[in-house]
Parts: sequence; structure tokens; C-alpha cells
Amino acid sequence: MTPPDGSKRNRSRRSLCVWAALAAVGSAGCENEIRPSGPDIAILESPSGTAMTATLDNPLLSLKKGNFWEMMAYRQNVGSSEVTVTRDRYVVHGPITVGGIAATEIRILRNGKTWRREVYRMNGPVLELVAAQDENSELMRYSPPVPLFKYPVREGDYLNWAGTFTIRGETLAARALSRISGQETVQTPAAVFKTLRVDTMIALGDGQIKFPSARWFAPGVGFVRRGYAEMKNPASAEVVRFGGQ
Amino acid sequence: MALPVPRAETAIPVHRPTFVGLTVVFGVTAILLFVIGIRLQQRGRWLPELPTEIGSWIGARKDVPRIALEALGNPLSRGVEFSNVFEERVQAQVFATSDFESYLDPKVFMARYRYGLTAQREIPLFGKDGGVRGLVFRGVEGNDRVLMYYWVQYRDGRTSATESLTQKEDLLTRVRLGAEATLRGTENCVVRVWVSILPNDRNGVQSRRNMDEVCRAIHDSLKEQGRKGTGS
Repeated sequence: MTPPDGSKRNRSRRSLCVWAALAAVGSAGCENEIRPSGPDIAILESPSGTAMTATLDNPLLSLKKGNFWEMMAYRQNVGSSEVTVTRDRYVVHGPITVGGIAATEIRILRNGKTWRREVYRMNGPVLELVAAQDENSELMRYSPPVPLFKYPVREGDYLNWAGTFTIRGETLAARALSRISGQETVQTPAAVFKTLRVDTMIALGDGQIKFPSARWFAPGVGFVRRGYAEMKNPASAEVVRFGGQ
Repeated sequence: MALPVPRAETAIPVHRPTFVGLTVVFGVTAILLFVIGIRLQQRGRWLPELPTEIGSWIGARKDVPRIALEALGNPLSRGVEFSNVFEERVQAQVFATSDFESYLDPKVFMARYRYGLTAQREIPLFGKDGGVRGLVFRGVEGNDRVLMYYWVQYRDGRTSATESLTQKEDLLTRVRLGAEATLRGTENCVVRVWVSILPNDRNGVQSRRNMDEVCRAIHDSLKEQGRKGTGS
């Protein structure tokens, strides 16, 4: 039996309709839905809760003369299980001029002697590192000063720097990155503090020599914890006592 | 008693496919596949450049490994490794979409490297232009974690986080991608960006920040090239 002519046309139309429907379904939707799922989902979620901030009214580091922080310092000696413990005293020593820049010096005393000097300045809303000097070394000067953070300070902010590093009359190109890596609760012998962690990396020349450091500041307190390299050994320090604020 | 013989007019009609009918179906299919193929080729001509400097990140060209290209049907590609002074690294790759395999799902792709998916969600990273598919993987052996963003970006800046081939034989997705390419045909590319989550970044916050910053800049750069009509 031969189907009537209309039936043939109908089938051709039907096959075209199937393709058209598939195309329509394809273009209109029916996409692979992504449902938030999995044990590591927290990594992909937006940060919740109130973000911690710091302002000039309640600064992370006050450079008022006389402010001090007593820190327990721990140095892990590479290649051995030995840890050297010292009690360091950070004191805002007062104004100093370095390379024509008016700034403030913080002295770090170890066993009663100056072990390290750090020179900071407030440049408007920006705290900058002007120079630093390690024991048995000379003052290392950054030009222009390296910005560490800018008020109002917020988690995730960062500042780039490119300039020069001068020591013993020799000048090298350098670059740096300083960022507010996160808000962390830090337990120290003095108290438990809500802090903002500032990570800074200064790389000299082609990046072969680097000065990494981490500073945990609590608003209205100042230094709470520090992480740094001491004679190529990883070292850290935590506040035991602070005052003069 | 003789059985009644049904009259021809009252028999149930049987519709057998005729040669003409089948020819029409095959013909339409062939034409459609041909058109889809042409449109995919047209769409896959766009391969924009990746930026080489993003804020504190410096990018260095790093070609996509051959084994990865083979898994994706050997599309045209570009790769850049971004690094910063903290020695953190972000890997970025962009692929032309001249074939369906370019859209291979990251989950399927990473399984080949023995990484299992442990989280995924759509992240609206580019505002009204769209978002990315965020995925977290863990190494089956080492338990190290990788954070990856996957998206398809069109010349006008729109993105899609959902266009991916969950398996080589994913027919529905092929139909959808084919139909989309045929009807709209806007040139696009696939972008895959990932980072190893460092052990000291326990909750992955810094990795997320790094990824968000790099991916936003890549999106903007690709959008700009799309507008200018640049990119080979």
C-alpha cells in the first residue's frame, strides 16, 4: 500500500521539526547546570562576616616617640633542631632624617644593645619603610621609600613598588610588593589579638636576593607578631608586653 | 468454516520509511552537520593574546603541553605563566574553539592527571558579562589542591560558565553547542586558569584573590581585543 502524498511531506516536515526543536532546545537553554557542591566549597564562596579595617584614627602602627613592644623572638637554625630564643625590645626612638627624608626610627634592642634599626614614615595615608639596618651592617636605604599599606586598610589591598636599594654606596634596582593578606586572630603571651597580616617581599636586582617579611598588626596596639629571615634562618617574634600608646 | 479475508481497504496501514524520506532526513542531517562544521570553524578563528603584565604579576609565555592539546583535539592555543615577587604562580591558557573537543570539561580533563573534583560553583566574576565556573581539585595521591576557573568568552565580552563537554560522546552538549554556533556564530574562545593552593593558604583565600585579579584582567583584555577585532 502506498501512503498518500501528504504523508511523505508530513514526514519530511517532522524530521525538520525534530532538528529545529533540538536547535531551539540547544540554544534556548538545557545547559549543564552548576550546583554549588563539594567538601572544598568554602574556597569558592564569597567571604562572609564583617571585614576588619584600620583607619588613621585607630592606626595599625603608631610612631609616637616612646611606644614600645617587648617581643619573644624565636630563630629556627637551619640544619639543626636548635631554636634560639631572645627577648627583644622595640622602641620608637624618635625622628631621623635619611637621604633627605624626615622619618621615624624604631630601634630593636637585644640584650640591651641595638640589634636592628628600622626607619618608617607616614606619607599622607601611607606607611612607608624608608631604611633598615641589621646588626653588623650599614643602613640600607630604599628610594623612594617602600609603601607597606595605605589607610583605610582593607584585607586584600596591595601596593607595588619599584625603586632602588642603596647600601655602602652601591645602588641596585629593586621591586617590592606589600599586601594585606588577611585578618587573623593571633594568640600571644600578652593577649589574643585580632590582627591584619601584612606580607612584604622586597626583591633586589634580578630577584636573586629577597627580603621576605610578615607583620601582624592590631589596630591601636601595633606589632603583635612578625615573621622574617635572620641570617638566612626563619625567625618569628610575638608581643609579650607593649605600652606608651 | 473459511476464515474471513480482510478487505484491503480496511487493513491497518503500515508506514515503512521510503527511500525518498530517508534521503531527506540524511540530506538535512548532512547539510546541518556541514553548516555546523563551517560555523564552528568560523567561530574558532579567534585566538586572542593573553596579557603579560597584570598589576604585580609578570607573565611569561608557557606553551600548552602536547599531551593536554591532544586531549582537547589539538586546538590553537596560547599559554602564559604569571608570577609575582612572592613566587606565587597562576597558569592561564586560551584555546580556539574550532572543534567540540576544545570544550572538554575540566573535571574530565583533570581526571587524566589523577585529580578529583572536590568543589564547584558558578562565580559571577565579570558583572553583567557573566561568570566563571570555579572548580577545586585534589590530587588522588598527594592531596595537593588546585583551584581552576573555566569559562567560554565571546568577542563582545560575554562569558558562559556552563558550556563544556562532560564526555567525548556528550551528544546533547554537542547539539547545543552546534546549534548555538550555527544560529549565533559569535566568535569565542575557551579560557582555563588555575593555581596550586599553597599549604600555608589553608582556606584558599589568597589563591582566590590571585585568581580573581588575574582572571578579571584577562577577561578585560580579551574583551578589548574582541572589540578591536584583534587576535588571530
